[in-house]
Amino acid sequence: MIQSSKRSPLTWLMHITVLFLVVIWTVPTAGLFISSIRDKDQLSVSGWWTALSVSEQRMVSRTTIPKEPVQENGLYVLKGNVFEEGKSGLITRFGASSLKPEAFTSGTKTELKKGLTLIVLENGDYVMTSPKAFKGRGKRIFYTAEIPPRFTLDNYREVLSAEGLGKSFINSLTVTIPATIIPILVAAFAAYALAWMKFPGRAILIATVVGLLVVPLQMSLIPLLKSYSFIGSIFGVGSKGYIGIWLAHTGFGLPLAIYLLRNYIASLPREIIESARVDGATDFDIFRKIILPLSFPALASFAIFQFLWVWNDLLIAMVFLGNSADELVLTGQLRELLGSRGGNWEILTASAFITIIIPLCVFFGLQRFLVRGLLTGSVK
Amino acid sequence: MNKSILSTAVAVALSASALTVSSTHAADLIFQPGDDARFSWSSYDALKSIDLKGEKVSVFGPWLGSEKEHFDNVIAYFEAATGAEVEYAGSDSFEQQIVIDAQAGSAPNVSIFPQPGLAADLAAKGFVAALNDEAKQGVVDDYAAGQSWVDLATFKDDNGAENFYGVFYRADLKSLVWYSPDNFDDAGYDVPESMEELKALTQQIVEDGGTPWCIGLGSGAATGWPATDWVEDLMLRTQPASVYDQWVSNDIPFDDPRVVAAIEEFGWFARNDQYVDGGAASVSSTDFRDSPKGLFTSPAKCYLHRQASFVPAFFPEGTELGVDADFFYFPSYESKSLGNPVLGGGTLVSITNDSKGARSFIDFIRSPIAHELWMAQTGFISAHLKANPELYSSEAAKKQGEILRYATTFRFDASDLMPGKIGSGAFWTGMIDYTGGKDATDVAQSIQKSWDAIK
Amino acid sequence: MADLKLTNIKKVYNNDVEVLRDINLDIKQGEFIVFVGPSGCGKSTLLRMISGLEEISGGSLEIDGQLVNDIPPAMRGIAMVFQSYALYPHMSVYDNMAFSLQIAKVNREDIDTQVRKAAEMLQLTDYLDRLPKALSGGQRQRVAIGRAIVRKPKVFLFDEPLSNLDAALRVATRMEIANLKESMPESTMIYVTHDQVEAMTLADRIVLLSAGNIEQVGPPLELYEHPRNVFVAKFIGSPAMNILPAVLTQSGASSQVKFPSKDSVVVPVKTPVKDVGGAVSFGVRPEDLFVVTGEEYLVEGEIAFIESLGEATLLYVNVEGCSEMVICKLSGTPNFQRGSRVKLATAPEKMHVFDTAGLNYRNAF
Repeated sequence: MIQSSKRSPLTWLMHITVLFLVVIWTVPTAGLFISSIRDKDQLSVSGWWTALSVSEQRMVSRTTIPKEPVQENGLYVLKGNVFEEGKSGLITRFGASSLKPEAFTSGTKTELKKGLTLIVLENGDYVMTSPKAFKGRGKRIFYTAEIPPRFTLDNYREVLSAEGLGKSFINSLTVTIPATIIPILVAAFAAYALAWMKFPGRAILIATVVGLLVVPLQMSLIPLLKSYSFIGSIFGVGSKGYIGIWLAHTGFGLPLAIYLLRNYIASLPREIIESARVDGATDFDIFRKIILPLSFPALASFAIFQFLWVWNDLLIAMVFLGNSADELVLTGQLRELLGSRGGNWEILTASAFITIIIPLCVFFGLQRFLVRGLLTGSVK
Repeated sequence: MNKSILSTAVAVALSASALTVSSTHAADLIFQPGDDARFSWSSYDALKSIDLKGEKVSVFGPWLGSEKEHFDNVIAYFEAATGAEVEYAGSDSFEQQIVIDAQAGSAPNVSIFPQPGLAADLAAKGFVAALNDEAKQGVVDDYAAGQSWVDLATFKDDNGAENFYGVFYRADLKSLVWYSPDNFDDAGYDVPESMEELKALTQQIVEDGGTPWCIGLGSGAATGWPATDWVEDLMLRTQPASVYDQWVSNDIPFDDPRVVAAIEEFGWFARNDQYVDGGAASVSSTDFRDSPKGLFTSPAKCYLHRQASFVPAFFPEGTELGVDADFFYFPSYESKSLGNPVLGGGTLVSITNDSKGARSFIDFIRSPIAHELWMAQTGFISAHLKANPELYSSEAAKKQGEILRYATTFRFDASDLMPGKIGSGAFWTGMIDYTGGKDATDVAQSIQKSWDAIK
Repeated sequence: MADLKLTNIKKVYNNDVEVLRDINLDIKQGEFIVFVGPSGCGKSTLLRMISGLEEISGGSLEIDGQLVNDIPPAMRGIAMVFQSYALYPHMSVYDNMAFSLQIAKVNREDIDTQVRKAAEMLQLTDYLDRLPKALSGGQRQRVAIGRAIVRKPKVFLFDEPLSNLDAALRVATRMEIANLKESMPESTMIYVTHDQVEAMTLADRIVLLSAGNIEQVGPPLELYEHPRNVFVAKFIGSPAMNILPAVLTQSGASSQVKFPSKDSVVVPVKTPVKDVGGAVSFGVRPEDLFVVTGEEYLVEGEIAFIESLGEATLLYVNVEGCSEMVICKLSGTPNFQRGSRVKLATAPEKMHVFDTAGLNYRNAF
């Protein structure tokens, strides 16, 4: 307590700023998540922050006409419930015309045109009577209902199956996992060679790799696809496909990967490597048994980078993969959904949440490798 | 340890993708060939003489979701008859994607262009293969107003020579006003027969305390396009078709008083706070997919919605066409004897990567059976004369088909014909500016300026 | 058999920076050789050249009569203990020690036997499963040594292995290394240090290097008692030998030198006639000086500092004509006052005279 009272205003300012930033960052995600598990009817009429409160909805239902007319006391009677199956609510007001949808309180029996009567109870049950037999389409019943909050996984079920998100999820994994592993492997080899093996032109090679970092990939996309299609046609490989996108992502990821890993590997203590060399290890042994395990933090951080970048990529996927269900990745699918289901928030929020699940898992899964002090005990 | 987990994951992902690739067998034929005599099965049987076993035909177009399903069902017949393997992929960003693919040399065999203007651009760069005279003559003979469809698909190639490049497959009818018959009944309104009546109805609804129109121009990067349809429709209703043609080709400038008048005519509807749900300010921010839903809310947010024939796809689930929702022809002025002009659009099927299979596919697309098969599903209007109109799945579609087939004047969506920079650029943004309160003349002048700049 | 023969070994960096010149050295099997010298003298480079980690620019290196100039480290039959231990941080102590054997594809049982034997020798048996980070500095160094032992090398190379340890641990580990040598009398060991105490205590022979040259090779006491030149004289022994400028006044079997402040002193050293009248350096170790009161003294001066170490007392004496203070190491704690004048003398056989080039006349003749 004494300590906290001594804190300077600057500390407080910092805490408040951090809190503010955390709120700014998490609120949209929370909103997205809450929206994605709400009932779609409720989602369309009220915001996610009202998710826990009872929502008042104005709805329309149509009476169903039974095949066999039912007669009671000389009147034709129609009974039913305004709510769809599986839903419930509390009816407050009802009406029979679009002009006056809230004309009557629930429970009151009302006279309509042509001798019709209608009563709608609080639980949604209605009774309509008529002196003549009902025919044709049912009459519309307008009602205002208080619907209790309802949470459901239906939205997820729908997007994963009907909207093809499940398939694109697998497609995204098919793209992302090799496109993360291949560049890491290649870059680790290259980084070791550039850091510890002596050969002529090494410095120029490093400079070239670093220089490649500044090449904007947007500039090289079309020429790359052109040459890929050309080379592919020689081997009878189509111009679009997974191999192409793996190669493309590998190529685009390599300069940064080599640069990061080389710097890390070069900073490993020289004695460890010399010691291994004296112990009889070949360069490959040293790489496999010493460098790789010791570079885990660097490999993990690059893996996170590359995974997120590939997972979230739309551009390269657009260029190197086709648009068929077998090749459409999550981001592409999400974009298509924005077009075709732009008004269906329950679809979009659930889809968006599915796309961010894997990056979150990857981050939390790999971040335990980002430990410090892996080299402790090695030297000094 | 971790490595092995990763490699297992890769293996799983790979085998999963391999599985699904192999599972894309030909879809089942939804109508058994020969069963329903209303179909032109003869043109299906004719296909069987073409042997395309082992041939792959990639098709790329703008259709997704249910439209893709319908089209896949149509394709299944081509596959069954010829033995070819057709792979259709749809994208919401077809316009960007096809340009990338064409430039990179990875274009699909067949592309379905929602805008003829885009096909013209690609043809001018030599990326589209011209069709032969037989196909051209077929369209002239088989399509209602066949020559006009041929003209719409005739562009200059990279050498400047004019060629015929594609077959129109699915038509869109734009001159439609949608409403809820129930709500009209409740309020006691009648379907207007002329533009004068429509305007009177608009005022009537306001007097009754309601809001007549739902208008939404929002469409992501393409925001503004629904307004261009309005202006085009009104252009056809205030000026003769010849003026419309001159406008499309920019033989009269965009800021011609006659064009400005049409824009202002649109303003009469859209810039009046009382006429539009949410007020004039919400017009450009409301998404075009959301705006028709106002017809069906309780209480109704609006009574009228002008949109093309595709819009039922965005009605609330369970809305029955012809009963819960209906449409009427966006009427013409009684006072101006310009007939009953119809504005429409259509998708152009062209070859972007020539092959035997692609040629056969185009022949299939212009045969009546291809039209009938989609007509018998939903959401398809055809200008094909040999396609049996009895096969339309709903009265509404049939009615639309008739409007299209018997239109005294049919004009193609102007913005789709104008150069891309105007038709899918300056015109759209100009309309947003206009609904935002800018003067019609200023807007028209700035559009003309952009047009001058690309000449 | 593990003899080393270094012939005209040279190390040149970037074609012009010569760090080692014409090193000639014969090392016999079972010898404990210590390379000692100030930092930058090239002693570590020489060791790394023997190990194979550094290329040999010129000359030849033979191990057991085989030329190994271009043979990779692992094939030379050597093992090296690094200054910074260079343990593999991600491997347990056991794996660290087994690493070289695993690389050599020795079978599992043999590895286990060897590692356990080495661990026992170094009292590491309890720590075999630990990671290096869970060990103390001394234990880590023992692991590093153990790693060398299991390879059963012909030659052990130690690169300043004690310099990262604190003083107490250093003494203890030094003893361990001495014991190790004793238990493996047939293996040759080469040890690099800049600490002359380690060199004196451990070495069979010391190789004293300076600026890329060998200054002197020999058993520790020989270097102490018969330094070949001023450099060796000053480097070996602590505090360093006092060097006084003087003039040779008489040569012969017994020469005379004259200090600036005093008359000639007779030195039982042979000097050549031609050097008479020339400048020489007169050297005497601090521990060989004692205080006298009579006229038979070497130098006289004023005490500037007194350092009492308990077992010994150091007197820093300002002598006229000498830029450096003369240090006198006396045993016990005799009573002296700062500022008082003392006369210092030494036994004649403890006197060294070096010529202008710094060479000891004793060795020259």
